[in-house]
Formats: sequence, C-alpha cells, structure tokens
Amino acid sequence: MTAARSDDRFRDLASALAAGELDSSEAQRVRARLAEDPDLARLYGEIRAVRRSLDDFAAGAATPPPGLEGRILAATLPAFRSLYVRRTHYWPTWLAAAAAAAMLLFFQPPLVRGALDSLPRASDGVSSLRAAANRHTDRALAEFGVLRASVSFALEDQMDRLEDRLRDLERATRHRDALLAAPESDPGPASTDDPQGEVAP
Amino acid sequence: MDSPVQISDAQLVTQCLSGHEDGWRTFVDRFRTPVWHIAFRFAATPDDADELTQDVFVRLVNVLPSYRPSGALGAWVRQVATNVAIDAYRRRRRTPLLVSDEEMPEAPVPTAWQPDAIAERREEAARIRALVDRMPPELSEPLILRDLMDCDYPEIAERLDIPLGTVKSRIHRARQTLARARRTLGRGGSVRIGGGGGR
Repeated sequence: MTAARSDDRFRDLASALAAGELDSSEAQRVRARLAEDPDLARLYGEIRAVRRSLDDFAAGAATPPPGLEGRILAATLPAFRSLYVRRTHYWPTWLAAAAAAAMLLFFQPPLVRGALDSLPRASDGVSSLRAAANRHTDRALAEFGVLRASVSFALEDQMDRLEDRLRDLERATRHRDALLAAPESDPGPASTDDPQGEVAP
Repeated sequence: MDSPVQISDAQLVTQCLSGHEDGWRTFVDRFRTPVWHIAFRFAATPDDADELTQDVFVRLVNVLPSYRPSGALGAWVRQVATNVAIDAYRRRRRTPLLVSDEEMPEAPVPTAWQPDAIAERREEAARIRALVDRMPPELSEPLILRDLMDCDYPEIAERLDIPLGTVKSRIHRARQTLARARRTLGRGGSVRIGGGGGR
C-alpha cells in the first residue's frame, strides 16, 4: 500500500470515527494514528464539527410549523375523496335501504306493529262500506227500473193516442177527397152520424 | 406514544381505503411529524419543507393501496417520503450550479459571529447545510441520508441503487469536502466544492 493510499484510507477512517461508525479495535488504531499525524487530527476535528452542525440542523426540525396539518389536509382531501369516498357511497345507500326494510319487516317497531294490527279492522271496514254501497246500488237500480217502466208506459200510451189521431186524420182526408170528387149538382145525402162527412169503408 | 385506543396500522389503512375521512385525518396526524423531519432535512428551509411535506402526503394518498400490512406502516411512510424527497432534491439540483469544480459559484462569505452561542451554532448549522447543497448530488444525497436521516449504509445503497462500497467512499469524501469548505469559510474566504478528488 502506497503512502498516498494509506493517507486516503486513514482519512476515511477518521470520517468513520467522527461518526461513531468504528468498532473499538479500529477506533483505537485510528486514534493512535491521529496522535502521530497533525493534519489527520485536524481533519478529524473538522469532520466532528461538521457532524455536530448537521446534528444541530436536524434537531432544528423537531417541531413542524403550526398549521401544517391543515395545509396537508387541504392539499390531499380532494384527491382522497375522488379516490376513495365516491366509490363507497353507492353501497351504503343501497345497504341502508335494505337494512331499513329488513328492520320494518322483522323487528316491527311499535308504530309499524300497530299499523299491522289495525289492518284486519281496516279490512272489515272496507267490507262494510262495500256492502253498503252494494245495497245503495241495488236500491237505485230498483228505483231506476220503476222509473223506466213508468216512462215506458207513458210513452206507449202517448203512442196509442198518436196512432188514434193519425187514423182520424186519414179518415178525414178520404172524406174530403170523396167530397171533391162528387158532382156539385148531386151532392148526395150526408150522414147525420158523421159530422165530418166521413165515408165508411 | 400510542394511546391504548389507537387503532392499528392495518385498521387505519383499511379505514382510509374505505373512504373514511376521519381515518385519513388520523393518518396525517400520526405521520406528519416524521414526514416533516425528512422533508426538512432534504429541503433545507422551512417553507420548502412545508411544501415538500404536502407533496409527500399527496403521493401517499395515491399509493396507499400499495401498502401491505406485512410491513410497518411507519417504515413504509418514511420510505415513500424519502423517495419523494430525493426526487424533489434532484429536481431542485438540476441547476447548472455544480457542473464542475471550475463552474462552482462561490459560497457566501460568513457574516460576523453572533454573540449568543446557540444562535452561533444555529447559524453554523445553516451554513453547513447550505454547503451540502453545493456539493454534487452524488455526494450530497448519500450524506443527507446518512448524517441527516440516520439511514444505514445498506439502506442507502438500496435507495440510491449504488454499490455499498461506493456509498461508504462517497459519504467519507463528502464529509472531508465539507470539513475543508468549513475551514475555508472560517478564514473568511470563498469555497469551491465539487466532485473532484479522484476516487
């Protein structure tokens, strides 16, 4: 090993010693060299000072600045929500609805249980209403039938009267035609029983 | 510390995937601090860390279904956060700042030391952290993972997809580069930080 390489080797060892990285036997060997080499000893002292300054610097970071947590959350919550919150909200809504339905069906809280108990009574009420409605309907139909029959009878009577009237008009027409067709000199005998001069067929 | 009524990781993820906003609020409350720590170590300023933390949770919302309950949720969240932070760090570093040693802009000259020791250390820490960002990403990324996030070497090798030996040599080189840059700044000079140096 040349002198230059030996110096390099001991400078590295001095660095390691200053950082507390050597075991006891190596440390003892380097300390012996430091006692003989002032330049190496000076370098060792300077490296120790650098190490102390780096330790001081690291110690200065002991406490994060105030408000750091808020700034971190402001910077990360949008990404957090877009990555993790959105995809989970479909299922809870779905599950919540299913759970609510299951609770209503199986556990029957008092309000629901009361409603379920009243269902038979409500059904009876509906049946009574339906029967009453049927009765009213039947009565109305019956009254309508009577009315319809009355109207029908009245109409038939009126029709008979109209038919009679029509026959009278036809007889009068034939009588007039006969009078017009007879000669003026021979008016012929007129029936006293037929004031309208109707000729019997 | 977890309270006795706190829901398990698997239950929490299930709640979130089921669209419960309260679950997501719990998720944010449970992991905002570790995510903020990771973001701050990579982003270097509180404002950038705030924005990066939000970006991490936006990614977490989208990849939440890929979580498998066989692993710890906290470790999974930290893994996602680290990946988002590394991606953001690389985008931020795609500026022509560190193309080569010659093109390196000068680091700001330190102002006068604060009389107060705590303020002085805080200022020194900010300066060193700024110097980290001026190194090439192949040095700064493993250094941040190791010295700011306390990841072990195999984990860094896996995260950055580089051999374990390369991870170790890059981290040692990054520390030495920072030490030299600090020395230069301490003398009131300007620094050039780059990936040079052989190895």
